[in-house]
Amino acid sequence: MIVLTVAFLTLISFLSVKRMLKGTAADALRPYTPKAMKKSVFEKMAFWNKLSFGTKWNIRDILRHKSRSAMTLVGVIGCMLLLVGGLGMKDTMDRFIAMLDEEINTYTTKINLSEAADNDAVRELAESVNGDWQASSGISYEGETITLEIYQTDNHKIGFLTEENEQIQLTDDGVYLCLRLADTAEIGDIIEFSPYGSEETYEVKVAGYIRSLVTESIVMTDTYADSVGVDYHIGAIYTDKESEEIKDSALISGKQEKDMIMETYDSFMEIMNYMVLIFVLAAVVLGTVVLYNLGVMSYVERYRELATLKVLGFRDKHIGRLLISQNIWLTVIGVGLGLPMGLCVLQMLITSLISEYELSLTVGVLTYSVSILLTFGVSLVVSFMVAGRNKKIDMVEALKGTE
Amino acid sequence: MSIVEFKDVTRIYKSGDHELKALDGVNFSLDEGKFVVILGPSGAGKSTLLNMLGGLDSPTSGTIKVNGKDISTLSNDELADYRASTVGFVFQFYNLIPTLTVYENVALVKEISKNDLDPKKMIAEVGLIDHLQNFPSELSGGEQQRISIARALAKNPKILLCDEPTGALDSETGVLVLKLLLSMAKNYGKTIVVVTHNQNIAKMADVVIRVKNGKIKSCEEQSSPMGADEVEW
Repeated sequence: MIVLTVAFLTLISFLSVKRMLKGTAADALRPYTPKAMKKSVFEKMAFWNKLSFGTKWNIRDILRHKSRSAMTLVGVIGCMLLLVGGLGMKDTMDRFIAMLDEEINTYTTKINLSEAADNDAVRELAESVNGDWQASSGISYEGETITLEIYQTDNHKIGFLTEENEQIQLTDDGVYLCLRLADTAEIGDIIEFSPYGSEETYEVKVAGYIRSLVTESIVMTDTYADSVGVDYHIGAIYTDKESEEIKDSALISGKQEKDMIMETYDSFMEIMNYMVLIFVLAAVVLGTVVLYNLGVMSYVERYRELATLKVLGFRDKHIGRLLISQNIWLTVIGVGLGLPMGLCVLQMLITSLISEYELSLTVGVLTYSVSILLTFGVSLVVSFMVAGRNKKIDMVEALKGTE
Repeated sequence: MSIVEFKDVTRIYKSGDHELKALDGVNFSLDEGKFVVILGPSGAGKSTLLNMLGGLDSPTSGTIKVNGKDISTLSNDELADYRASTVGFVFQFYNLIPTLTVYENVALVKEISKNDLDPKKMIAEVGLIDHLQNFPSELSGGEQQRISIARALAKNPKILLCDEPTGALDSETGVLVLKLLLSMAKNYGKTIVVVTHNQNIAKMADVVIRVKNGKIKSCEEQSSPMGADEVEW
């Protein structure tokens, strides 16, 4: 971040002195003379003549100082990118936790079963606590070791989500691939896997895809598992009973409340919050520093013009408005570009994280509004800081000769 | 009736411990519709005088009345309004906005002036109606100065203030510009004040004020000023 800011500022300084240092030393001491004006495409359009003088002045100024305007845009876009990226990442993680908590893990207590537990006895126990159960085991699929998860979910204590985050009921006519594996087979394809460390292979049909937030897995119902003849050992029961309501037995190796499980994510979210804070601060600093420098540059370049307007009888506020409106337009454009770019960066980040978590890009209204308002806020504050300088324009000095 | 009245006007510039008396107790008054030339060597205080009159600067002490109104104690915004409504400027280096066309440079006074004159008409009167859509950089110095005269008059001010209006022009162009300036000022009944160190311009003036060391050395009326055609330099 710091490197980026320094690089950016160096570039700005370079651009501003480049013109001055071109040519002889005598040239450098002479004041800046403007390039000849050319008419832009806009001027051929019908609306051009309806624009106010200030608008025309600003549009021509933006077009005449393309690199300065482009840098301003980059500053605004950068600010927007950091805000949307940082706040959007938090939204996405919050959504991830919420999905895990409310839509996928709808149980209250998870009962871990001992290695020796017999499937029939476990089924009985599950029924007695109105629970669903899950058996998971390692399998090799397409050369990779992943998890096979077999569920019985008649009591809806575990939920499944599609890629669009809609609840889905697993059907008994095939397996579901997690999104990470979505590229490996189409719906309706027959795929092959073999239990980890075994030569045996099973052929199963792909019935659909599900968002598996954490594990890289193939999922099927117990009915389908029985019909294909896959061997499994039930490892966990999910129930709404409180842990003290469940009688200990030889089958049970431990009980975990979901709330305890979700708490493990808290420290992770705390780090996330710090990161977001740093992103937001970085955005504000980047925006302020870059826009202020460019604003001052613009002010200095137009000093003579501003002094002329002042002499003609424009009030300080009027001139300030002209300066600020240019910044506002560039900010509008920058925000317009920065917002989709921020979303793109976020999506790329999520895609690169897919081997760990199947996150779903989520950006809340608050993130949009905070990003836009903060970017505009930074731009406006900086504009006012720059525009405030026009009170100090020395009309007499500025109008003195150029000789 | 006098349109301008300077009474004991003093302007002191301070830089550190050093004090510079640019104007030292200046008294004079000007009648409406006259062509006034303020003459003096550089550093005499003639530009300071013009700046006071133009509302670009305020006196340290004394009062300046223009059109019956005391402008020596106005706030910044009031001074801006005064400049917008009462005075028109013509500068040595034209000071046109390079990013605006000829038409826009003149029309921009509409933003600040309430009784402005038609910009196109003013440009036509300075003879540049064919250049409405040109940018200042496409015009010669004399043409640019004519545009700045059109701009100054478009505000329909009481007084035209000109600081070395021909200073950056060759003598031939200078005479033409000066002629135009005088005839326009006469047509519109404007008081015109020109600051210069060019003695020849003074020959055309109704009133010549000589300034030296921040003081008025003399203020004389010329009963039969020369026409611009007769003057050469």
